[in-house]
Amino acid sequence: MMNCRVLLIDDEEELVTTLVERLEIRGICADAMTNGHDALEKMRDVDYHVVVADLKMPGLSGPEVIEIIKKRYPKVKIVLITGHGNTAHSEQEYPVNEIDEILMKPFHIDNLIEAISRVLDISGEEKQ
Amino acid sequence: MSLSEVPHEFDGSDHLEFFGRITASISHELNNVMSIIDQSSGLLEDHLAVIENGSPVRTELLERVHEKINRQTLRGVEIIRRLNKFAHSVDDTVTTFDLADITENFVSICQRFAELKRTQLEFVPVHQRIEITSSPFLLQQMLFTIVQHALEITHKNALIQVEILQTESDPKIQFTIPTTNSDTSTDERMKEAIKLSKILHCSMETDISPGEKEIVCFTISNLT
Repeated sequence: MMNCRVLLIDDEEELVTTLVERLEIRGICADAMTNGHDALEKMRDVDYHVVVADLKMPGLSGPEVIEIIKKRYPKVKIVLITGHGNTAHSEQEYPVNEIDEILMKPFHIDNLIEAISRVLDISGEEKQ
Repeated sequence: MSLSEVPHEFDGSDHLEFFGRITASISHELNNVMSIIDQSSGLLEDHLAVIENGSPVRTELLERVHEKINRQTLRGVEIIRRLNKFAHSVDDTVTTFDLADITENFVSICQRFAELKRTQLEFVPVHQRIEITSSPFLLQQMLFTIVQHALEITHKNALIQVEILQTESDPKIQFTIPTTNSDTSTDERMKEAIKLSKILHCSMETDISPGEKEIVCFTISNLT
């Protein structure tokens, strides 16, 4: 887990910056971006293992960013976060095949870390 | 007067769809606020755990989290205030209300739709009450169709302005929409807005300057 690098993308700046702080306290390197364009620029300079992206964002939407990321960096794992109350309905809005995990907002930090671990296929012992 | 007594060709599903879209948007925004407060509270817990383990934590860090929680709480309270006002607009189908207040509140609600399209929606403040007798709910439904139309024809970073023009007779609500699209005559949203304006006895005018801006203006008449 210590070697993994995570990029969080959400237009709610105070949410992603707080999540970055909480992940870093837990030894996970993380960066925050508030839109898809800046996130794609950041990915040119930094190698990420996991991208955590919001479904609804101004400009490039979550699914649009994810599609580009998957094309450019097929190995990067994707965790989608959404405030949509109905998972079945939101499944119509995103590319199911390109998503590794989905988290409904609000979520506990442990749920995010578990999702990151699952997509990276890290066991409980390695997480420690 | 009840909704069924206002003669129109819309069935209940049109109103429900509109109500659902607005409340879904507001609940998404509230969800974001709650998520930030939840994570900030968690961050405070993280810092407390560090202190309990005997390590120092800078006071500024705690103050920053506290300020964030305060800011988001105020944001949440404002969103709930807007939602409450919108929800109560169905209390009386036809009633006397402050047109400026209802319009300002509804434009604020619609700002999230504009942000998602990377545009801005602005209400030009009016510093006086403009009392009108009409249907506040149907009026907002009509405003929403124009907002949707505006977001479809405008461009990124545009500023869409909504203002109330005082005239000697009835007040007017005017949308100024920067656009590069001059062919808006067949827009479905506008057809819906025209239908709603007829129910509300509003007269609606559209002035298009191709490639520059479109002005949609409607006069609000009293329903008696």
